[in-house]
Amino acid sequence: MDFIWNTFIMNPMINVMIWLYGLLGHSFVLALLIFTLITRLITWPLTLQQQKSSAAMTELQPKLKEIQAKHKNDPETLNRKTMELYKEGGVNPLGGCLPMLIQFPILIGLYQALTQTLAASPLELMRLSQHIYHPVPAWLAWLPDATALIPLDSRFAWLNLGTPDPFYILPVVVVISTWLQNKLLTPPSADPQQRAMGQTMQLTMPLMIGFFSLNFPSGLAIYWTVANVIGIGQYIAMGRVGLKNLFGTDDGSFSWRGLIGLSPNQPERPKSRPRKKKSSG
Amino acid sequence: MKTLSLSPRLFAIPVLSALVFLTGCAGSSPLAGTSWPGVTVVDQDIYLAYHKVYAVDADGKMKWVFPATLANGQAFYAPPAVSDDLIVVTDYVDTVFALSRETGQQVWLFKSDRSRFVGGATLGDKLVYAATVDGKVHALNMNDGTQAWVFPAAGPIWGTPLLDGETLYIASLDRHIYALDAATGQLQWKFPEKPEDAGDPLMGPIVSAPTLHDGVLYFGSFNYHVYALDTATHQILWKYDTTNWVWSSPVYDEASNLLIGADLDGNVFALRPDDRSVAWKYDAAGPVVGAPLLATRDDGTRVVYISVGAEPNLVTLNADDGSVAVPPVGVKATFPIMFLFWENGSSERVVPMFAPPVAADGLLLIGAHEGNAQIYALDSKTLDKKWEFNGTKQEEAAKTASPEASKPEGLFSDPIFLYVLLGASVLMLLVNFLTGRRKGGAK
Repeated sequence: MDFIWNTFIMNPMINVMIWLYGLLGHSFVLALLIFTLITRLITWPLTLQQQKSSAAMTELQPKLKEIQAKHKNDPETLNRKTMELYKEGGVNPLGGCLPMLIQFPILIGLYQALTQTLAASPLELMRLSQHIYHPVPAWLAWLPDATALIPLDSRFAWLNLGTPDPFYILPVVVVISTWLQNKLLTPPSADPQQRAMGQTMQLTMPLMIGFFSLNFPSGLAIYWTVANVIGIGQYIAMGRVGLKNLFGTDDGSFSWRGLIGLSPNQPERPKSRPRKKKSSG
Repeated sequence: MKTLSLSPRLFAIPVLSALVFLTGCAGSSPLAGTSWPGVTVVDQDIYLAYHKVYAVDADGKMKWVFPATLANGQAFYAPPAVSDDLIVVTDYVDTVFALSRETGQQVWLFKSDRSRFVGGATLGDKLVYAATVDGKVHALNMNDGTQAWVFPAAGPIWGTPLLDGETLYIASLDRHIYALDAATGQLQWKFPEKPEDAGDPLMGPIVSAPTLHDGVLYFGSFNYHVYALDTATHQILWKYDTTNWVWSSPVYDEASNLLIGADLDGNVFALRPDDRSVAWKYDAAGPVVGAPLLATRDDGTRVVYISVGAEPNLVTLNADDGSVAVPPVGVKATFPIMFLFWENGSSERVVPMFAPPVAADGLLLIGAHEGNAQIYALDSKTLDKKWEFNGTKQEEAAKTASPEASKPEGLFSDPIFLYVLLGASVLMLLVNFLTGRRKGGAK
């Protein structure tokens, strides 16, 4: 397992990051940005597929509302009809979640590659030696000599990219960008169950990732933020970003409730029971 | 028709599992995966730096520990420097401590400018020398720890300074060897003065202290070479090709007139210093990080002990011809087996050994960064384990505060468990998506 993981994930990531560092004026942040762009391009087909699924989801909303109104007292039938509709429309209601889950092996590999490339500790630096391509094939000889670049300069602004942000600014940025991307990608659902699922993911994922980024190298937090921003840019380029997803309203108008994942419409207040008049006598 | 009932809140489980997996892969402690123990032996006393600093007797019993409680992020890894009455240790944060050799009480401390110490300290007659990762070489007064002088190198220094009379040699990750006046810190010379002085390839990072013999500095570099540098002419006498980085300092054997070194591919080599010709080679089949240890056995033969970061992790060779003196052994580390946070057994396995072996009166001491024990003491002839030192347990036994524990093996730390948990969580996600949610009873 280690051999496979190192050969296909770790070694390529580490060497590519070091080469980019050498080609981009010894700036690790620039190398990280370009590396993020490359990984987003590689996962672009999946992202595109998910976007199509999300668009189809949006188109199904009126029909979903019909089904919900028709079967609101029959949850089992409601669920069945909903799933049938999704199936007919080729929709995956987890459209906003799957790209994130697919990125996890990349994220895990990147975390390990980042810590070992920046090599802040003796063990990390020693292990880095086991990942450097040496000698490189002749057709790669034009690339910078990885060993000549080590140790990499891990400083950027106030950050040491190999250690967590001491001022906790990046974790906040991670939370906001993750939430925003997820929100823009996931269309609001008329189905209460799907809405609940989406609400959970939209709140839980960013908070969890932000929490863990408190202890991650700040370089990883930068990657995650940049990946989110690039993702949003991709969606804008595809014309998929709209205020409807952000606010959950049909016309894209502002709605606090929709912003935090609730139904934009105020729920009906239950009618109060009429008081019984006390009989006299 | 009945359907499965799964709360949407269970989405938190795959999310949490995946992120636990992510951090599980990285280690559960901020200090996990940092460095290996540093061990120094003087007379019958053993001094260990691994998270804390311990004084250990020849039977493996703890004499004292410092500090009682570690400050946030504090840890000790570099081998302590020992004088008649002082132990000088560098911590992994920014401080040099001088401790009483007898009691472990702090005598003085010196704080750098928030820069980490990776290498250990070197003791002179009146000065203590230590270098930081921001490239500064600090000379401290031995009696009170005040700074006598500071020299700024161009890049990080991870090695321990080498003192030879009035000259202090520094090997730096900035690809230079510096020669400083030990009393004043003035730069006498550095090599290479210009990058091209090192020839082709250019000098690579140098992490360990050089070895000095007969006016020649021998050191390994990350550019896959071992160098011989004449300290009088500042010229390279020769260089030797390796297949991977050279981390450890080579050692010179007077008896056989051989320079013995190793690289991170496990290639062990013995070179004749005069002409760099190869006397013998040995394949240890794993990274060699710690310097080889030369020793003389009872029958007068010279052997070299090498710790290896793979199995077998201890190799013993005859120094004169590189033949195997004692069959390689796999020193096993012990791990507790945990089930739901209760220790219910132990397991053993061979672990990578990166710390250099150290000799101690018929014993061979090896520091381990994995497993329960920090030092394994082996019989130097048979390599049988005589005792092992677990600082945490001895501290608990001595009823001093010790929050440190080795990473337990078991249900919540085995990576396979995390894979299973992640897989199960993703499966739950899919089931929830495919089957929907049941409300009330079946109709």
